[in-house]
Amino acid sequence: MIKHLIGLGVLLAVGIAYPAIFPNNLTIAISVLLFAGWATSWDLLGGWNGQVSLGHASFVGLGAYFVAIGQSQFGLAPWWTMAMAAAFAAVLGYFWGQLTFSLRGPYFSLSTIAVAEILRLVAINEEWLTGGATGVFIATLPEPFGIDLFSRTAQFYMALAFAAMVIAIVIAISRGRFGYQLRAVREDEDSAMASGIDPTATKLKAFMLSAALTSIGGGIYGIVLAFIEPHVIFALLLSVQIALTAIIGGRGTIWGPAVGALVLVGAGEMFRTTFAEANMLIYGILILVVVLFLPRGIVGELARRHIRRLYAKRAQG
Amino acid sequence: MRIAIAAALAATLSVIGAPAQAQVEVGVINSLSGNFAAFGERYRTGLQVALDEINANGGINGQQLTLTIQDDRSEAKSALAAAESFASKGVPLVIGSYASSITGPLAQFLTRQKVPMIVLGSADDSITKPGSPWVFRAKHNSTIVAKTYFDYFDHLKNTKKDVPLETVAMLYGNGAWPTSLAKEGKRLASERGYKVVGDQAYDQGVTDFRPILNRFRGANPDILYIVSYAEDGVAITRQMREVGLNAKVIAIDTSAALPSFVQQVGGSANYVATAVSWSQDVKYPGAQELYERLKAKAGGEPSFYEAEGYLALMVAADALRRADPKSRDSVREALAATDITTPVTTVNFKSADGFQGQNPIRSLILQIQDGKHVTVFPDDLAANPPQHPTPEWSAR
Repeated sequence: MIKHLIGLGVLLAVGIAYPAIFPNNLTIAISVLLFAGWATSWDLLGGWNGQVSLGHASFVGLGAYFVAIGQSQFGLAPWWTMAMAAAFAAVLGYFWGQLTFSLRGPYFSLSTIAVAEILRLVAINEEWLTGGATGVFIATLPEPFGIDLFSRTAQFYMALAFAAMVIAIVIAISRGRFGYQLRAVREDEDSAMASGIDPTATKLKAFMLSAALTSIGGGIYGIVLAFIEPHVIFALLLSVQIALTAIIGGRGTIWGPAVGALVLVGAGEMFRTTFAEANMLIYGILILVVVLFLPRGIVGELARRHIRRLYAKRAQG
Repeated sequence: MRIAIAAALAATLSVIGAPAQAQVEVGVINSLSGNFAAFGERYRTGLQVALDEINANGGINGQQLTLTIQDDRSEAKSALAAAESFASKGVPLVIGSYASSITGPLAQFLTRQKVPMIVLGSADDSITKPGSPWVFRAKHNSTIVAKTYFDYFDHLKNTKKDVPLETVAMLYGNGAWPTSLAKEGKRLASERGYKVVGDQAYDQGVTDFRPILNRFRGANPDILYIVSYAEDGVAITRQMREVGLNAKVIAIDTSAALPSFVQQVGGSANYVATAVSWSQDVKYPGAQELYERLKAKAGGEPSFYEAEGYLALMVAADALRRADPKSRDSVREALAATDITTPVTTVNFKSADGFQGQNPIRSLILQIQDGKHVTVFPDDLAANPPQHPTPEWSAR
């Protein structure tokens, strides 16, 4: 616990200093932080609770659309619309989970793809609300305390706060009753039920929390892009990227998804600027190597080796 | 660990951004990998042909022009990272990108950074309407293209009065470009007295269009107005013949403009009309010669995409010659005052009809005649007259 809090402190300290040290590399850092936050939110459900979602782009899209439409059509400030998006995402997660959590195994994952598709089609076709296929612009934003929310520095701190908040929530949950319930349900639903845990209620809670947190990051992403197109924001590709970030980093670990974001987004950016057209190929090879040699993810594998070493030491006396 | 990686990242970025001497450097953000790589490759060819020409003619007032091309992986977030590095490096202007989902955020960001931007490929109205003082587009947009189609239909109606053109059926994908072209098309149809007898959007990925085409056949439209990306347009054309959907005019946007369309569809491609920003046989001085150079560089049949890449850099070079490349304000003013003729088109960025920084380019209608794309409209730029009306499938 103390270790994790120190880790969080280091993240915040490095983060707060970052814009002063690298004032010209903020966009990439924002991407890393947003993906860290999304992947950690995803992991609450996908890693700690074992329910793999391939539809988290729908929550990103919800957040982005709430902020964009709230601002452009109703003049609502992003902090209100982000709160509304989080509430809406939780409600959506509740009904979606009610429908699908009686299904086990891959059926839940399949249903998540379908829901993201439905939201995409709604965003494309309900033009009166969403601006249709051509998307929506965010032209103006309020300036709280004179802060220009369009500036990359302000957006960086929003993304940092988002990532730190999500990680702090996971740290808190991991040691609490809810964290053990999540893991119990992941390992064996029937045994969990036998010990008095309601698996469906646990999954629902995890899903609602995961959805709400993801949509807050989506709202920040909407501000960063300032222009949203439904085909891109609700894309299956984004859902897969979020899931992959958590899986590569290490499912069911506190820092795995954040490390995954740093490795995947950071490497993607480095490869993009150095290898030109070949960058996707090399990126693919990197993912393959991690999956082959670190099947538990980067942090997952490190943690396992650490524990095995401890056991070995103890066994030797 | 984190700091080490961040430092490595910064080092990589700064090596790439090493300053150049006695050169004028232009930043290009282009989709070289990912979904839009095929288009990005074509744009790059056009940019390079323009670069060779500019430097052979003395560069920018004696200084060598250089291009720094950054890949955006067909994603907005990478494009924005590239834009940030260009903005901080002090390039006088940035050219980019293809998809509107990338170009839109790019235009917003560069406007706020006060960096002049020339649109490379995106044709969405929303990029230049309302637009910004910093964003310029020499190529067409959906309003211009839809208007060109309806001008063409009017032209056909007026030249052959014995062939009535009254009804139109529309079929289009649900992406940003097809949707906005259809929307503008519907507006123009009602404005100019065409009756819309079919109006159907489809989700990208659909392969069987027969139910829609059969329904259209029942409505017996005079004009088919179709907006589709590559494979969809090929499937639609083939299935149109299968179900025997006849029309006097068949217009297929985007898909039919590609050289590969004719190869994939064969004889059924004939008579199909499509709007483009450029074609080799257009009557602008130097068009044929540009075609030869693009073809040599591309190592294959070039299309209007290469020409648009060429156009973007020629516009940039012209403005840079008239400006102080070290001052973005002066580059922006020079761009706003652009008035040139290139082998692709004429360019001036007059603001009109709610657009800003948009060249009122004259789009062309090409018709496929005997397996070749031929410019048939507007009259004064055309190589051949249009073949009209399109005969019924049973008579071909």
